Amino acid sequence: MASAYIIHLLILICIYLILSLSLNLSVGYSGVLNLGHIAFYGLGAYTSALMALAGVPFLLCLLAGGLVAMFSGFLLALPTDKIKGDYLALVTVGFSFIIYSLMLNLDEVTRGPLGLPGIPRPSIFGFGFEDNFSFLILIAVITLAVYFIIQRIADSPFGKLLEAVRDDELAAKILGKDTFKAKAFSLAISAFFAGIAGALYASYITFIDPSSFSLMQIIPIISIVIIGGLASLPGTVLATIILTLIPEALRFVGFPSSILGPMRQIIYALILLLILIYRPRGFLGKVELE
Amino acid sequence: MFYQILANGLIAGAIYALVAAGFSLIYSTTKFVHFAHGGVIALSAYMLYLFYSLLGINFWLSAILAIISGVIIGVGIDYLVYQPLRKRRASPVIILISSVSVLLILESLNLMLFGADVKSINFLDIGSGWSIGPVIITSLQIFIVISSFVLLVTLFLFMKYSKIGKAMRAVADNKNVAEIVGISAERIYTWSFAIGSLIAGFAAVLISLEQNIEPTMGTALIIKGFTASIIGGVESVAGGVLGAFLLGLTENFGIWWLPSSYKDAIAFVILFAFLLLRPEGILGVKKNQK
Amino acid sequence: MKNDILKIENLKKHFGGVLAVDDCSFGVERGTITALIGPNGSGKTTVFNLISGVTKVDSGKILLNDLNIAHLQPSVISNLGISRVFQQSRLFGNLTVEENLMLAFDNEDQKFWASFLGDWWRKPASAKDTARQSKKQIIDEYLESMHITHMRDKQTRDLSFGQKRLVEILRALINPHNLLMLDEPVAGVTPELRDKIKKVLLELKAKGETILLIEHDMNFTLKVADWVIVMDAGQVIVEGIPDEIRHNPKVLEAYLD
Repeated sequence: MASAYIIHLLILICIYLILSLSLNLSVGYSGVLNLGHIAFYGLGAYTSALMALAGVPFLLCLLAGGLVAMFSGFLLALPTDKIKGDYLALVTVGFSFIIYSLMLNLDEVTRGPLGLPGIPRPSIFGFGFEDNFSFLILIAVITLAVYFIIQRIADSPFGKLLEAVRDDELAAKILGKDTFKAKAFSLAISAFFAGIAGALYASYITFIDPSSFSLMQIIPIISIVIIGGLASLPGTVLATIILTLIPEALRFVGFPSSILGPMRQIIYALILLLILIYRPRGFLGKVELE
Repeated sequence: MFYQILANGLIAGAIYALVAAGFSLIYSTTKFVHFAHGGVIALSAYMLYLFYSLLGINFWLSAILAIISGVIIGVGIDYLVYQPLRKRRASPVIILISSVSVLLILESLNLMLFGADVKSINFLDIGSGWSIGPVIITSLQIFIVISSFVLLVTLFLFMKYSKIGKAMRAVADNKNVAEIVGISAERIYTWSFAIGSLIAGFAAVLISLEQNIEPTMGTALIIKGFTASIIGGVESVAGGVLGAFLLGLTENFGIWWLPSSYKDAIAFVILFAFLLLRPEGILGVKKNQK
Repeated sequence: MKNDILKIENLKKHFGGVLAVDDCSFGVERGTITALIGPNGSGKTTVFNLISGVTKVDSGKILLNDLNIAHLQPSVISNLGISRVFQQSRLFGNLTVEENLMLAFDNEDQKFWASFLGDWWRKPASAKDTARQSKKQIIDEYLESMHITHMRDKQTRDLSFGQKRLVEILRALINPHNLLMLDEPVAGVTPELRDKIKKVLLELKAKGETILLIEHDMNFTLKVADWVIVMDAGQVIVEGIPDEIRHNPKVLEAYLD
């Protein structure tokens, strides 16, 4: 029993890791304050779930989930050349609202608030990941791959270009850089991984409904990125683990689950507020959020 | 049919206008997006439920108590969250994130304290309808439209003629100049939150007469109020009110052709279009690029 | 007939009702140091912003090697050969000195896939390493020549005002260009640093660089510049060699207004 619970927690941590590492690429490295990350996550989940329910093999569903999210990430990047700062953040919020309301209202496709049940567990070349332990191994491998890919991007000259755009976009332009292309790429890649996370989530829980993808769900993830530190991948990992475990502690104190849910949200939001007020660089970050 | 839709649109617009007026008022002086305004309305509505339905206090007294709680919550948020952030010169983006966190906290509080099931205030009878020509309106709706009209006119007169209203407009126009002539911007911010939240409390009372009270109503309302402000021009209260009626009408005329579940999607698409194409809104002035 | 690398013709720009640049025309001769001077608010920095594409041109032409660059994007203008230093520091504050300079060499870093996977399909990885090594060497030489090698791995936001200035000038120098534009390079720096920058500018000219600079410090300007253009109220009122400018009554009048 206890080990089943730990496996479940580890899987959740992996999903959060993919989400927050990819968000750090767009928010931390290229400085695009993207509050619509959950929309990418949801697009990945719904795309892959619908395909999986239609009998498409898992790997294709996973890829399609990533690609659909990636494409929408590119679309969301289009206005970044003109709109900056808090208005851009609002555009991403609006984007999140739209995707959420599509999930809720496109009844014929998404079954609206009823959600999509019976999503098959992953199966790769005949090997099924029916039990949670094998699923954990699958998602751990993918999470590691995502970590190394994002780290490699961050360390490459392209990653330095992203940081330059974040620090001073005009100065980067004056050095002849196509800053729009850089931001569009980073947002698209970031969205791709969020889509992958969504596809994995859908195939793990085997049921999705719009409530997992509302705007408010961005709070834990943005908290992780800010608490761990912008442009700090080890910080993100540490923060993901801590933030996933803290609310679990409440479970042992013995609160009923009807109180546990909202309490967890309050804890995330409070931690985020305290960090924003007292330690805007996060714990392992060198970059101040602006 | 046309006149009925017109009437429905105007009633929806009146409710949105109440939300947008307080939100725009706060934005106009402080220049940041106070998403938690929706949470203030929701919590005030629950306070009304607490005083009137649970404690059995006289309705009018309960309404006054609910409005006072709204003011206390709004000013409290400013004092506890926004003021420290302003002190460390946090950017509007940071304040935006923090306001979403506060909204999440307020919603979770509602959920924790009052539970997930919807509540209703059965003070005025919704059933009895009046027919004015081809249009059927309930007495409650007439009450709502008239009260919001009176409130908005009072607000307009207050902003135009009272000393504090004038000072608020001065700060909204140019904070630095206002401070040079001896107006304390911080004091005016507090006033903005007090008056904005007073309107929020008022809105809460009117809305909870017509709609059910539920934990997530704050998010739903602020999205509409925010959309209205963006349409009309977020810098001015008049713009917000104008946008609110336009939004109410567009939504109701929109579902003439589209399934009614697309009502929200219509609002989001309009919001997105305005954010991308005309972020300064209909009444807004394009800022000169420097 | 002068050999002008940059020619400004009838340039105009207004902000709201204010005419910031009013029918401004001048040229910058190849291989010289040209100084743009004038009282505060005379439109010098606006002219710089218009040339580098930071601000949109209302009307008029900006010819770089006879190509009209008005209305082009800042990045395109930069790649056509204009390098610029701003009045305030615009370094990438969270990056180190070396990383700041590394970004200036070329636009190879924009190639995402090559940057991410290496471009072994076009050239061996060793060639790329060699290219990177030689860039590092060039950076080291520059830092050495300015005696600031010890700052190489510092984040630039931790540098002093004067150090930032030097790194910015270096970054603009490394950025491939035909024309170097400096907005008040010695404003607010110590006398020693001012002499250092003066030396650098004169060395650059000896190497054949073309420099256009804005400067308030008259002594400095009149010593380094070959040609001085005086602006007032958005127009060029006088231009000439430093000695003429020094004694021109119109210049004095402009400054006294």
